[in-house]
Amino acid sequence: MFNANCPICGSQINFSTLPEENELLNCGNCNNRLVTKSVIGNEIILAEAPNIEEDWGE
Amino acid sequence: MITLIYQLLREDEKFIIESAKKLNIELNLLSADKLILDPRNFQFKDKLILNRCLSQFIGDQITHFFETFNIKVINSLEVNHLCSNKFITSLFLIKNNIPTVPFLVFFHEEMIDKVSQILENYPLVLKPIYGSWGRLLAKINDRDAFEGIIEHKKNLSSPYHNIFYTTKFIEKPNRDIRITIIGKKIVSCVYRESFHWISNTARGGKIKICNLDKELENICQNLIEKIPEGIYGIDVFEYQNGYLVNELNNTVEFKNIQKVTGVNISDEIINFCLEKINND
Ligand SMILES: Nc1ncnc2c1ncn2[C@@H]1O[C@H](COP(=O)(O)OP(=O)(O)O)[C@@H](O)[C@H]1O
Ligand SMILES: [Mg+2]
Ligand SMILES: [Zn+2]
Repeated sequence: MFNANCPICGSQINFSTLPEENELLNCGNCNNRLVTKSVIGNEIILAEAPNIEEDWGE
Repeated sequence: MITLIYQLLREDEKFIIESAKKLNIELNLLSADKLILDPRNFQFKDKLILNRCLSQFIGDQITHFFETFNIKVINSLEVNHLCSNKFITSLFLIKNNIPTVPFLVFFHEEMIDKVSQILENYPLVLKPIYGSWGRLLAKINDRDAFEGIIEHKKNLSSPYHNIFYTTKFIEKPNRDIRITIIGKKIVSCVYRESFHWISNTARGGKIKICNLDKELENICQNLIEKIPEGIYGIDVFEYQNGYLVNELNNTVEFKNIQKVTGVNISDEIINFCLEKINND
């Protein structure tokens, strides 16, 4: 089990396996969209997901 | 074997990763944030790139770069080129006799009366030539709205907003059809239902299974013969007992379709990559 804290509400988020970099997820507590900014060793740093850019999408 | 290039790993990409694991295919993840496209130090060990970048412009540079070094990329630059600009897509459809929505492009507000005449009156739809998820689409119900929107568009910063790509508004039922094509295969067909005239799932459209009838299948088969091989999402409108192809999409989002239909689109994507590798 791995974990990190939500950068917005501070609650703990658990991971059963180490996530990839730039993986999207939702905080179960505040429901904000987050992204894994970096994964170094077992340490996971989360950040708020980036805003949608003009040329994004299919 | 395959490198998946991404900017953000969404559920779609996670499905692709799962499929590769299940099918026992080596899939290496590469974040575009970590890329330097340096032609003097080109090194690459995999056989194919699956480009899943969210940004069309960034995705294009990456595809162009790797194709220059003869690495296969899905989708290819040819497919990107066909899909990313809506005017180019429309021209392709009309040239190949695929039924599509009447469209035109103009550059100056003086033309609006002529335009509404050619497209047989309001409502019309004005769209940015580059765009997705139903963003910045405007339904124009009358001349006043047309004038106002053109004036606003002229004040947007990107030069492409000065290209007024205009189509007829199609009175369709409260839904569109979305078909997924991979290689030569029609992989799935669904309705996107919505009470808003813009029915993209990114804007809340609900997905229901749709059975492909003979007429639509023929249109798709015709299209498959004409388009460069790739992974496509095709938007279709039902109109007067027939069909109109609205647009072709690149870097298809399929997570909701996969969940509703049970069709394993991510498996199909991996298998298509393998097919492309083995066609060498
Ligand atoms: N000419 C039109 N008439 C009626 N509805 C339209 C028309 N053009 C677009 N729409 C609606 O808006 C949605 C998004 O338009 P589309 O051309 O597919 O752009 P995008 O690339 O943003 O998905 C369509 O799926 C459809 O529901
Ligand atoms: Mg669309
Ligand atoms: Zn939170």
